[in-house]
Amino acid sequence: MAAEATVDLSARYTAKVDSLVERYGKERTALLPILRDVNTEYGFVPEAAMARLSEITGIANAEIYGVVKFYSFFSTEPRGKFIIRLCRTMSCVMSQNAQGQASGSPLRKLMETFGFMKTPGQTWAHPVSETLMKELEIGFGETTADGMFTLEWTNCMGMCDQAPAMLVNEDVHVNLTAERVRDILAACRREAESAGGDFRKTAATDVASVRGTIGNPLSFSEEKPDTGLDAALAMGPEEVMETLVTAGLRGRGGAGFPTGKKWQFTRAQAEPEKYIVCNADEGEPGTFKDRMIMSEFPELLIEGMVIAGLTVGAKQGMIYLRGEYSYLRGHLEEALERCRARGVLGQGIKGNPDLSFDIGIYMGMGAYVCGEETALLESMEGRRGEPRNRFPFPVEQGYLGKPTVINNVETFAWVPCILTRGAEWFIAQGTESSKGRRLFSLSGDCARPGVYEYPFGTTLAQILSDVGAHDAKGALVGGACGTCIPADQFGRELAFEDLATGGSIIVFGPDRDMFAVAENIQAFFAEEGCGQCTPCRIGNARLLEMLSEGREHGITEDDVRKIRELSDTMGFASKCGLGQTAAHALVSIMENFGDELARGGTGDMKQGAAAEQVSA
Amino acid sequence: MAQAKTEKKQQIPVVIDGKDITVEEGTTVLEAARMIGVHIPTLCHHDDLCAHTLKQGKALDKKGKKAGDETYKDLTLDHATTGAAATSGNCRMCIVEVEGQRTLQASCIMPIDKPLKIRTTSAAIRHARRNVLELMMSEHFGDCTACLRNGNCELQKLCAEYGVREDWFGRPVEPLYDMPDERNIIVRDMNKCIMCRRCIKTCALYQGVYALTPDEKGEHSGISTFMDKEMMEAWCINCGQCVNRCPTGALTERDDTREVWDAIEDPDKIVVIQTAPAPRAAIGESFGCEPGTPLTFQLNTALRRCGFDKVFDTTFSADLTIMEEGTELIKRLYAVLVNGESADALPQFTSCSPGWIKFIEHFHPEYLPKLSSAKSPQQMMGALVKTYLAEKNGWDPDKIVSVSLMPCTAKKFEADREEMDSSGFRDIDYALTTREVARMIKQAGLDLPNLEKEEFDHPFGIPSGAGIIFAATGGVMEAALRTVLEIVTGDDVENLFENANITPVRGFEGARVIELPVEKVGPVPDILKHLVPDFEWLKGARLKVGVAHGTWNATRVIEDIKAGGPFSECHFIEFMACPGGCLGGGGQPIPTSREIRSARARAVYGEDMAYELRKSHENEDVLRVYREFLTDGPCGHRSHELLHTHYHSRK
Repeated sequence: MAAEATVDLSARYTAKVDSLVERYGKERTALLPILRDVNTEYGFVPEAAMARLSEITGIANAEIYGVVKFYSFFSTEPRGKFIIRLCRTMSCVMSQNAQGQASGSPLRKLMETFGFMKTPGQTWAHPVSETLMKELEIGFGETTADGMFTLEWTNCMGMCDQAPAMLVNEDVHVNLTAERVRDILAACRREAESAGGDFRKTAATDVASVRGTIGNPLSFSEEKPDTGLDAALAMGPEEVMETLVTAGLRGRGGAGFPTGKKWQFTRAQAEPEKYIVCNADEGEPGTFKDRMIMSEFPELLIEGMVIAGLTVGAKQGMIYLRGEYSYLRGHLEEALERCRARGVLGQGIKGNPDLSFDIGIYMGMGAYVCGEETALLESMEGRRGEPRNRFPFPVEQGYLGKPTVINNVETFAWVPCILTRGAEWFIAQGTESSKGRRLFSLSGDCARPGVYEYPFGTTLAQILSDVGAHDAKGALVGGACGTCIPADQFGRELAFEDLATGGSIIVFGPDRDMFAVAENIQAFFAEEGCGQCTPCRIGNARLLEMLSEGREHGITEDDVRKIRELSDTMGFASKCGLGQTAAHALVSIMENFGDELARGGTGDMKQGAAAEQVSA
Repeated sequence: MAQAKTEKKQQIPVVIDGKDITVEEGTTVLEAARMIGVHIPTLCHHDDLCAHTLKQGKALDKKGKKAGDETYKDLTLDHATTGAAATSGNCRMCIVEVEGQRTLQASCIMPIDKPLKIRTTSAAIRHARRNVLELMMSEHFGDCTACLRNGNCELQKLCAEYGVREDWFGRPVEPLYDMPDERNIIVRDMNKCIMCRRCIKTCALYQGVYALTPDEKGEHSGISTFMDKEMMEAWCINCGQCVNRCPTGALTERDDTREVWDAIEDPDKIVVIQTAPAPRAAIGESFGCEPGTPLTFQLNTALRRCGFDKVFDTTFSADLTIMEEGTELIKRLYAVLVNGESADALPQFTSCSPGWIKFIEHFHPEYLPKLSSAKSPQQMMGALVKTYLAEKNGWDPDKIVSVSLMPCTAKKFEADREEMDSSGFRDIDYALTTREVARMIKQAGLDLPNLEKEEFDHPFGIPSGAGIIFAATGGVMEAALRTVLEIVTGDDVENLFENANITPVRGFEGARVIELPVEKVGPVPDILKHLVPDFEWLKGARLKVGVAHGTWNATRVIEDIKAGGPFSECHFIEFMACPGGCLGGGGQPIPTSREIRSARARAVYGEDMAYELRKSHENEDVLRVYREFLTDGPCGHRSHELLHTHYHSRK
C-alpha cells in the first residue's frame, strides 16, 4: 500500500512539473517560477519533481537541488498546509518587548533545551511566538502532528512599521497580538475544514490592510499619470539621460550610483538586446519604502521603468519582487494591465508602433542577498542567488549576459518626477553630492513609524523628532549593514557624504539592550550571506559566536581587537558589498555603545528584561 | 559583433610590485603576476578550472562538417552554460591591492583591461590573507597527521607560510559535520572542506557530470549531492577528478591498503598484483621525481619487496582487450555492412574506462548497446589469474588475492561490480590507486626511484607498447588500429605510419575524428576464421574512428551522434572518462595540470618506442593464452564467459 501511494504521489508531482513546463517553458529562467509553483502547491519541492524537472530541462538534478536549498521559502521536506513564518528581525522583536508582556527567560531556557533556537543568539518575539508555540504545541522548525501547521522564523519581511508581523503561506499579517494570532490560527483551521483535506491557502491579503503610515507629504503624490513619459518622449533618450545626470539622481538602493550614467553606459553597449530590471527585493532590515511605493504608486514605478526601457533601448523589463511581498503581485499585475490598456506599456506605446516595452514580474523566494544586484540576476536566471564577480558590470553583461539596467524601486519612481518638473526642481533641494529628496523607512521605538520623505542633508535629530522618538538613545541608519548612531551624533546629516543609507532608520529607546541588537544583526548576516566567500561566510559566524559567548560576561578587549581585525578583513576582502559591510553595524555599536557590549547582554532586546523575570 | 571577434587583442602595460610588464588584454592579474615570477597564493583557483583554460579545451562543432581539426571550435563557455559557476574568486586568498580600488581585489578573476598599478604584498594583504586562513581553520576539524593529504595539502602549506595559529578564532573540538561513510569510493569529509568549490567546478564544467552542488547558504553552506545522497548513491561516476583537484583532504578515495597488507601478511594467500601503464609514468611524482619519469621496472622490484607474490603487467591484458575488442569490431562491422543487421551496433564504443561506463549507464543508457562487451584490461587479467593461471600453477583460486595498481578511483567500483565474477571468483579483490601504492612503498621504506630494475612475472609479463599507450587518450585506438589495420590489410602498419606511430589519433584535443582508407585487404588469419570468411567487403572502405577524453567531451560526442554529425559516421570511438586519458586519472598523484599530464604522456610514448613488442596481436603471452586456454579464439565461447560482460541503465 505504502509503495503504491508513493508511486501515486510521484506520478502526481511529475504531472505537475509537466504542466508547469508547458506554462513557463524549459529555459533555465523558468526554473524558479516552476519550483515556486510546486512549492506553493505541495508546501515543499519533492524529489520526484526535481528529478522530472532535471529530465525535461537538462539541468542536472544536483544543480536544481542546490537552487532549492538556497532559498529559504523552498523546502525539500514536506511541511504543513499552513506555513507560518514569524519575523525575528529587530523592529518586530522590539515591538513585542514594548508591549510589556511577559518576557521569556524560562521560555528561552525551554527553547534552548529543545533546540528550537537554530542559531545561538537568535532573538524572538515574545507574546506572539509564545502564543504560536502554545497554540500549535510545536517549536520553531516543526510541523504539527496533523500536518496542518509548520512554524518557522523568517528574517525581516519589510513590515517594520506594523510590527510584529508574520506570513501565513503568502499572506501577510501585521500588528500581531496574542489575540490576533489565535484568531488567525482559528481562521486557518476553519478554512481547512471547509475546504476538505486537500487545502493549501494561497495569497489573499488585502493590500490595503498592510498599507502602513505615510508620515509626511510625498512628491510622488503630486505626480500626474504619464506626464513623465510624455516629457521623456518629447526629450528623446539623450536628453532624458542628460537631465538625470544634471539632476544628480543616485540609486536609492543604498550604493548611490548615478542613475543617468548607468543608463548611458547601458545605452552605449553595442549589443542590441538589453534589459531593465527593477530591484524590488527590499530585504534590508527596517526598509519598507519600496513596499509603500508598490502599493500606493505602482504606476509611477512602471512609468519609470518604461522611460528607462525606451531610453536605453530595452524591450523587456522585469520586477524582481521579494517572496515576502507575494501579496503585492496581483496588485502589480493589475497596475501593469491598466498601463497596457492605457497604451503606456506593451506594444506601440503612446500609439507609436516603434515604441515597445513590457514588464513581467519575477518572484524571489526568500534570500536577502538577492538584493545585491548581481545575485538578483543570478536568481532571475534560475540559479542560486550568489553575487557574481565584480567584472564585468551588469551594464555590460547583466541578465542573460546582456546589458542591463538594475535600479531600485524608488529610483525608478523618481525618474518621472524629475522629467516632469525638471532637474532644477530636483537639485534645488539636497546637498552638493546628494541631490534632491528621498524616502526613509522609520521603525523601532518611535510614536509614528512609517515612510517619510526628506531632502538629503536633513539631520537625524529632525527626523527623530518628527517620528516622535524623543528619548532615543541610538538609531541604526542603513539597516543591518548600516551604522548605529548614538544620541550625541543625532546632528549628523542623512546624505551620501555623511550617513549614507538605503532609507532604513531603526530607532532604539532608552532601555534597549544594544548587545542584543548586535547579536540580532550578526545572526541575520550569518544566516543570510550567500556562503560563497570565506570572510563573509565564516566571519559572520565567528562574530556571532563571540557575541553569544560574551553575552553573560560581556565582550573582552581581546574580542574587541578580533572584531576590529575581522571587520577589516571582511570589509577589504569579501566578494560583494554585503560581506564588505556585514560587520559595520557591530563595529559602530562597539564604538558608540562599547560599555553595553562590555557589560554583556540580556539575550533580549530589552535591558533588564532578564532581571525582571528573575524577580518575578 | 563578428568584427569584434577578429580584432587583435590589445597589449596593456601594468605595474606589479613596481615591475613593469605588458600583457594581452583579458589576462588576469594572477597570470600577469606569474609572468614576472610573483607568487600569489590561491585556493579556489585551479589552472585546469579557470574560465580561461576551459575555453581553450577543444570541443565539437555541433554543425561539425568533415573530420579534421578545422571542424572543432573552441568550447563555448558562454554565459548561459556556466553563469557564476565558471568563475571562482571565493576563497579570497589571492587578494591584491589595485590602485584606485577601495577594496582588495581577487587577482584570479580580475581581467586586465586597462593599465593598472598592483601591489601583491602589503600589511593589509598579509593580514587579510592570514585572517582568511584563520577563518578556514576555525571550521576545520581533523588531525593533519591523520590526514591522507598530510604533506601535500594546499591549506596546510599556506597556514605554515602565513603563521596561522590556533589561538585566534579557535578550532572545532568536535566534528561540525557527520564523519564520512568509509564505504564510499569517493570519500567526502565536510569537516576538512574549505568550500572552494573546485570539486563542483571539476564535476560540472570539466566532466559534465554535475554530481555535486553548493548546499544551503550563509553559515549553513556546504557541498552536497542531489537529495544529500552518499557519493555511492549519487550520480557520480567515481572518476576522482574532484579528488585530484581538492586542495585539502576533504576529498579522498577509499583506502584499501590495510586490507592488501593483511592479505600479504596472510601466509595462506597468494597475492598477485598487476600494474597498469599510467601509474608507472606518474608514481615517481610521489617520490620527488619530475613528472614524466617512468619507473615501470623499479616498481616491480618495490612491489616484490612489499611482499606481492607475483607482479604482472596490465599491458598483457590490454593486448588481450585489443584482440577481443578488435575482433568484436570486425564482427559488428560484418554484421552491419555485410549482413545488413541493425546499425545500432555502430559505432562501437570502448569499454575500458569504468568512469565512462558508469557515465553512460547514468546519463545515456540508450547507447549501452554500442559499448563493447569486452571487460577492461584490469578485469581480464583478474579473470585469467583465477582461472588459467590458477590451473597452470595448481593454485586454489580461493586463495588468490588479486590486486591491481591503477591510476583510477573508478577501478575500485569496477572491481566491486556484481557482474565481475563469471569465473566463480571475484576477478579483482582490491584495486589500488597510484597514491595508495606510493604510500605502501613508502611504508615499506623503499626509495622507489633508486631501486634496481626487475622484469615482470611470467606468464603475463612481456611489456607491450600497444598496451602501454592505453595510458594516454587515443592510445586504445592506436593499439587497436595497429592490430586491425595489420590483420585486415595483411600489411605491416609501419608501411602506413612511420614507426607504427599512428599520430593522427594522438594529442589532447577534447574530441577528434580520424579517417583511414583501407586500400587493400589480406587473408583472414586463422584465429578469426570462425567469424568472417574474408575481408573483401572492407576493400576501399574508409575506416572512421573517434577519440574523446573527459566526460564533458564525451557528452559533446554523444550529442553529435544524436544530431547525425561526424561522430555518428564513426565505426569505433574511444572514450576515456578522465582528461588526458588514464594518465590524468583520478587516482594519480596530486597535483595535476596540463603540463604534468603532457609530461606523463611523453613518458608513455617514450616507453612504447623503447619496447620490442609494439602490437597486441604479436604478444606471445596473449597468443599462448588463446592456444592453451581460450581455444575457441577471440570472442569465442570461453572468452565470452570470462572476458566479456554487460552493463545496465542507472537512469
